[in-house]
This record gives sequence, structure tokens and C-alpha cells, in this order.
Amino acid sequence: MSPPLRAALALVRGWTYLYTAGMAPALRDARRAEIESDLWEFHEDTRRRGYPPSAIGAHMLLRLVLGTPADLFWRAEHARFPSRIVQDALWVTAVASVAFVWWLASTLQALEPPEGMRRGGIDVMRLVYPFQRITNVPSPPPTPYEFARLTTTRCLIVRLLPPPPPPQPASR
Amino acid sequence: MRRKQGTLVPLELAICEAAAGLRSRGIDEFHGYEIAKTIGDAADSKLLTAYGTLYRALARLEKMQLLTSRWEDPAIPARENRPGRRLYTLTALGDDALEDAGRTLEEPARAHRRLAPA
Repeated sequence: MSPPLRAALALVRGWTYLYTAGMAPALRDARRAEIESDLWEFHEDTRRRGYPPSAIGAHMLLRLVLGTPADLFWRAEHARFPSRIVQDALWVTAVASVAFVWWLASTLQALEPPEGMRRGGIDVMRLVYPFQRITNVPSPPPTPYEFARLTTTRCLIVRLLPPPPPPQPASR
Repeated sequence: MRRKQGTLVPLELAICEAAAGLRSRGIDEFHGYEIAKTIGDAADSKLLTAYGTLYRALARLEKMQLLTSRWEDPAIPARENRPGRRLYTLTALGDDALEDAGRTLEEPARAHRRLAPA
């Protein structure tokens, strides 16, 4: 097993262990076993179909990252926290992770699959930004700072400016 | 935004459709990865449904009683040297929900066809 694949497996297992920690044993063990089964099936299936280990690892990581908001929401749904503050913090983290994943998803670019693997169901995707600017689209996605600035400015403009005047009839 | 009571979100609908599709091919029980792969193939998607999204949706469908699940006999994975699978089945209620969703999707299309000029 290659080091990238081993690292991806460790990350998925580690994250699953983390977000299920402290839950009711039946629920916790069921989720961990289910993820473990999925990892095994996915690994075996893609290996049989001849995908390179690095591609399998990258796909696992993407499935992990894109699912983290759902993991946190699921955890919050089943939370048994004594403190309301902790529970609220979990919800806030979940919402923040949705924003992060949305931003991440907007920066992903699919790689062209190799010939003969076009209907395989999995492909490698890579992070284009911030490591490399997208060159084949006219406007690259904004950085988080730019995004926040633009959003704030737009909100302020909508709130402060009066509505635009109705269109005037064309004069002859 | 809260969803309407009893309605299915697109992923839940996709899971029920994929489960019905598997059953029509003689596969009554399916595990998580199998359903993710079926959905991915049907949508011609490059990426399989994320772990968290998939298993949260499956849990929700089970809570809504549209799916039932059981863990397979531990002797089987022990013999095949792999982790045990949680096997899901589409219930009669799941079939009904799928039919209802199909009707809901079909109605606007039918109305559009009726209204569209010939």
C-alpha cells in the first residue's frame, strides 16, 4: 500500500473516530464499522479496476472532506451535551464547515480521465486553487478574503442604496 | 430552510431510486458503497457521494422507515476476510414514497405539455 493511500485511510479513520467519540456505543460502533466497510469495498473495487493508489487516496480524501459538514450535523443531532454552549459551538462549526466545503468545491477541477476509464465512476480531482491558478476559465474563484469583502460590500450596497429608479420610456 | 414534512431531498430520492433499480436486477439488499456506486454510475458522476452525506441520508431514510437495515452474519466477513457490511433494504413505505415523488415530478411536466402550444 502506497504512503498517500495509507495516509488517506488514516485520515478517514481518524476523523470518524474523532466525530463519533463520546457517543452512545451502539451508534458510535455502527458508524465506525460502516465507514470501515465502505473504505474496504471502495479500495478493493478501485484496485480491481486498475486505479493507481494515489488516485484512490485522493478520492477517499475528497469524500471525507466534502462529507464533514454532514458528519458534524449528524453528530449535533445525536449530541448529548451537558452544556448548551458546547452544542451551539458544534452547530456553528458545522455551518462554518459547510461554507468551507462550498469554497473548496468551487476550487476543484476534474482531471480528464485516461482513455478507457471514462465510464468508471471515479476520477481524480485536484485542488487547483490556491496551489495553481485556473487558467482555462475567465475568472478564478475569489480568495476567502476577497469573497468576504465582496459579499459584505454587496450586502451594504443592497441595504444602503435606494432602489433603482424605474426605467424611463424611450424619448423620440 | 426546513424541508416540507414527508418530502425527500434529491439524495434521498436518488438512494431510493438506486435501491429500486438494484432490486429490479435481483439485488434486494445493498450496502453503503454499493448504493454510492450505483448513484454515481446513474448520474455519470466523477465523484462518489461523500461518506458523511451518504450515511447521514441513509440514517434519515431508516428513521423515516423507508429503508431497513441489518448487519450481515459475522461468519461471512470472517470467511472472506473483510469488514462486515450493513445491509439496507427498501421497504414498502420506501416504494410508496418513490411513487409519490415520481408523481410529483411528473405533474408539472404534464401540465407544461398541456399548456404548451401544439
